[in-house]
Amino acid sequence: MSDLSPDWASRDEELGGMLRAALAPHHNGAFVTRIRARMAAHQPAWQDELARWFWQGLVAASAAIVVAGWAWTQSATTQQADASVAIELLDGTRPGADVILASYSVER
Amino acid sequence: MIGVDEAALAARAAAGDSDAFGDLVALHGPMARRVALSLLEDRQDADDAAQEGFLSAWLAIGRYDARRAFRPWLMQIVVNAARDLRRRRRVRTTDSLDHVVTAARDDPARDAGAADLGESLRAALATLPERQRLAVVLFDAEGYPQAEIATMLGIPEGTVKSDVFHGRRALRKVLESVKEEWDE
Repeated sequence: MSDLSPDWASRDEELGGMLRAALAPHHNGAFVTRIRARMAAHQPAWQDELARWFWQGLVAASAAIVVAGWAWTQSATTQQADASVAIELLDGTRPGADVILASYSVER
Repeated sequence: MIGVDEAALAARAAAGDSDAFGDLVALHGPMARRVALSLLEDRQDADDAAQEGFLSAWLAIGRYDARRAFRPWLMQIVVNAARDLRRRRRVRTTDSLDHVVTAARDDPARDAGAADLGESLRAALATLPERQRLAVVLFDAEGYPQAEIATMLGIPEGTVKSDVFHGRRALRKVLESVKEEWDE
């Protein structure tokens, strides 16, 4: 503390040491334990946000899966129906199959 | 905690690693509590403020830029928490320091010698304006550069220099009176 010039930019080590001693806290371990316990009960905002988006995302993904499943089922049913009609025509079991095949070949 | 890679811990904490943040609490807890005590004059209040500061920092960890130093970011939050608590509890004073603070305000050089050095210093700090306390403690005790203190407190660097000067002068007056008491 020998120099009291306001422009002097060096630390006063002696005063700093005395201040650290005068302000020294007790029981840092207990303090840290208390904060860790409170941290466990409080999540950072971004984790809350992430959790919120997770559930929204889960709902959206579920809806997408349902829609995709419905579309796939519809598509498979149509293909199956088309195939069964073709088989019936070729087998000649369907009444009027020969007429339909003839008209198809004429169109070609 | 010697040799701890603070930047790595801070980066892990920023990614949501609570264990890493806990290690940072252990590392910076004493400093945060000292700074809070310099403002609040009461150990319980100081611990409450430091705790609030750490918890606020944890909750806002997503906004921390891991490329920048963690310590000033944290300390700014702790200082704000201590200032908030100080405003809320302005009327509350500590029994243990009341008589010393009052005496120091009346005549710092007269009664300071009656108490031990630590108590005298805390009492002398309590007589300083809030900004001067922070400037001296953050600069001389905690080693923050004056430019960083200026950013932290939202004041010009020249004001920090001036606050350090006036704060040191007031504290030295008290310390000299304590030494005189010891010499007698």
